[in-house]
Amino acid sequence: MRNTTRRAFVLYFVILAFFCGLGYMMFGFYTNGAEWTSNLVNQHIYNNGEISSAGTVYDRNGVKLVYSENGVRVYNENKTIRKAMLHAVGDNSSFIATGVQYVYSAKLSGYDFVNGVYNLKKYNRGNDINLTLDAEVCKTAYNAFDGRKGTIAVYNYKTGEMICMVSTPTYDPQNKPSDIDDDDDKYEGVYLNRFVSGLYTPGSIFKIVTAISAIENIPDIYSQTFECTGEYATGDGKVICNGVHGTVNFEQALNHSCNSAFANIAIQLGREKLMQTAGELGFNTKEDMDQITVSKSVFDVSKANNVDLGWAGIGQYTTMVSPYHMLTLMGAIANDGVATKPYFVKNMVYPNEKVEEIGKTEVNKTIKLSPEIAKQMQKLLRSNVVNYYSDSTFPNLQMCGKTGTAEVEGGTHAWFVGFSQREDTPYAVVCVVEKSGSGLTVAGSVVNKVMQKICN
Amino acid sequence: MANEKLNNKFHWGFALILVSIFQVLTGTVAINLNGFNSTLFAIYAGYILLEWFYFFAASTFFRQNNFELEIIGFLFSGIGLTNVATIGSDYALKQAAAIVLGLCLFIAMLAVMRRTDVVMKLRMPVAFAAVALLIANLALAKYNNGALNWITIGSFSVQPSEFVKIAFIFVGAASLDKLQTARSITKYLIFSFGCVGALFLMKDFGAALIFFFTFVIIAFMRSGDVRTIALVCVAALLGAIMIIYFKPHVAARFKAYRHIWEMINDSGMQQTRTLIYSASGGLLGLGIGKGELRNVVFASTDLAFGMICEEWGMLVALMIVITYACILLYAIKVARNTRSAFYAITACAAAGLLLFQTSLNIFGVTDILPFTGVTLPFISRGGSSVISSWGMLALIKSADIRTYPKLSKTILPDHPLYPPNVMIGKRAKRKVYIPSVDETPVRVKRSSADIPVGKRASASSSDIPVSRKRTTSSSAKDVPISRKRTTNGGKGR
Repeated sequence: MRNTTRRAFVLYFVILAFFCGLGYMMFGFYTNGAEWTSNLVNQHIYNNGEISSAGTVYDRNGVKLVYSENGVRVYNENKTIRKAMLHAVGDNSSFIATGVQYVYSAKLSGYDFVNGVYNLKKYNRGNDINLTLDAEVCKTAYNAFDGRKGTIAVYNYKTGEMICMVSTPTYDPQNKPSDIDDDDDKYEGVYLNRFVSGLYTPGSIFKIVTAISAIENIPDIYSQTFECTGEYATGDGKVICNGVHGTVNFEQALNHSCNSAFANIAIQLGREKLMQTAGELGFNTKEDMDQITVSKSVFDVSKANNVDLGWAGIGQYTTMVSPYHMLTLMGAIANDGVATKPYFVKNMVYPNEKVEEIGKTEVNKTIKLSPEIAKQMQKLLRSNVVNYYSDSTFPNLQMCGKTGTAEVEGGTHAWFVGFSQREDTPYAVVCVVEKSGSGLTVAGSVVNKVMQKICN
Repeated sequence: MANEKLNNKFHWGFALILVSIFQVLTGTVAINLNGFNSTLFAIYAGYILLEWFYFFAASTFFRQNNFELEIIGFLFSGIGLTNVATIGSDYALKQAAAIVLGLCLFIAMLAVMRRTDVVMKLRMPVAFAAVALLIANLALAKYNNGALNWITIGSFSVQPSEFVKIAFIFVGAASLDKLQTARSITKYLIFSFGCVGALFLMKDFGAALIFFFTFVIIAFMRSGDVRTIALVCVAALLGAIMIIYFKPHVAARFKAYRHIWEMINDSGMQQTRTLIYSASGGLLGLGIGKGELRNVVFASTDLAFGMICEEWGMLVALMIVITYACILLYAIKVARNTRSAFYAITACAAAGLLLFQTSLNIFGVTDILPFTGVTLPFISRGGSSVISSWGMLALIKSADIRTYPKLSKTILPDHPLYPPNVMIGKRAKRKVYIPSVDETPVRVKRSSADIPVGKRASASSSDIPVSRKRTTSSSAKDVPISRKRTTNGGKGR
């Protein structure tokens, strides 16, 4: 009898194990509750896999981009704004995995560990989200693309706030086209936000990286001259130039985007130095824009021979860049070496008007650029516009920039990266228009339309 | 004494008032969920009246004053009833009928368990009845959701394994009174193997696990033989591995375990929905009837825990499941001072079974353990489950010495828990021995006067419980606990 009751002590272990299990379960609810709640099958938030009840998303001027009414998501009344803002706002069915409605669904639903989605059920509204984007600017940008594919983004390189972020092709989330999922060129990669998920051959905009490496590593770079005969012969083959530039110095080579000169510089630098600079400028590093994963820019010349290295120096070869990364790099140059991270989600407002900041000014620590070199690059990029592209292309902006015309199968990507030096318009811009022609005429004009809308 | 009695009676009455208020509040929500429902109103009125009738009858006519388990049973049955009532009033009617039957079984079992001689006489018939029930189950049942564990009689479905649970503990504790003898352990082993095997054939793996766990508790508590128990566990594990190896379809039933999100609309459906909606409910819940989990298949039976989490809030759900742990603590406590090893084992095994079943249910639906589809005692919809849960309470309560006041008075006048009209917690507090300041507490030389009243041994032969007198063995092991606690009692032998 005594032994029997004494043996009951094993039951204390059963109780202990039970409480361990309970603790583990509650830990799971605490850490994963937001993720579980925002699952598409949750009928509190989604209806047949489509988001139905959630908070409102506003642009920077308080324009309602999307809100819930009677269990239905209603988008902005302007069709162009709906299309322009699609990739920032996201769709109903979470096909756009980088949109606010997907990434911040737990916040939009007003979920918290204590109340669950009670506020959503009670007030039929979750938390609201304010973006830093300007719907009117995005609309201008969308119109400027005129049906071509690509992306444009503008951000304040001092604060990190994005004003414009448009990716095309796009569609109207209120009336989703029925032929969208056809294997059709028209909607190629329509669910991707090309600004964060796109990876492109950079073409001549990569010369900025080669130039930075040259300033860092070749002491007499400014006194060197380069002969351009329309091609540059290396031991392994030729790098073809876009023209015959004759004798040019470093600055002129960048102005004219002379392939011969930059192939020469890349070979002078060598594989290691060029890769080191690229690494310091944020290549081959994974980046996140808050909770959105950004495609990683890739630069690798470790197995390149001389002619490959020459091509790599002018942005061809295997190099791929993400527009997000290029924008941050422009910001670093414009902001004297301090790379401010772009963000487009400003804050979240609870039903009780309490505001929680989401986006804030943060510095990208992987991009290491000394202030002196940044200032030199500012001069060189300003010289591009003043001496070659002409200020009349970008009136009243004090633009600095670099165009690119990246050769890919089936055409050329038109690139423009740059920034305004005006004190009151500290904006950096990245624009890529796919398979559309030359950098300056195509991308340059899109950039100008958008920048004029923002700055004037 | 009279004052104290009144005082304690007031305590239980007060507890029942709180339970009733809770039930009136939650019941009002359920009754008015889709407009006023007179059937539900009648069910709730009847249920609350039944609680008070039981309370008055038991405290007045049977001098009961230990209502811990009944209060918990009434509260939980009421939560289960409300949860079911929000789904449909016909379900509520069945659930209420099951609660009444459960209470009847509870009272009947308490009456039977009072007499140890009756228990001993009953064990073989009960064992045979249990085996017969399982065989009938195997013969008559049709596949129902992948398991064979239901018999349908008319419009009622009965789950025999739920009732066999009670028999399993009853027979186990009674026949293992002397595990040392080879014959009794062999008989019980055969019985256990038969039960677990039958459940395996029914593909009711959850119940099989519960029975196995209970077997281990009973066998260990009686024999204390760690080696044998370990051997049995290893054998069971090997058996399980072999079954999974040779019968892949068994393993296939658990393929969603830890992969529920990959099979979100397939075999992981119930678990993922439980997690999603429990999280949606938060700590405070969305309100009774406001959940979405109720629309998932078998929500009110398998996923009752998730429904409570979503609608009543995780705090309520946690309190419910923690209470099962408290019932086990209570069982361990009453087992220390009970009449014989039989009662100690039944109480611990029944409370252990309740907690184990609760764990299988709540950790199964949250994907911490494999999902076996066992019910949450009292809360899940299902008559057999509710009735069997009340049976478990009877097994625990019969071990509490205060349950049989007259019996305790005749056999245990000096029992630590005598007089029985005292709550356990209060009693323990009052009887703690505190030496006075100038007294030197030398433990070795402690005289009998220093020993706390509650633990004082009585020299009179009336100290020995009835059951002891009936058994042949008179080894030191089976002398009641109250005697062994004395300082010289054990050593002197």
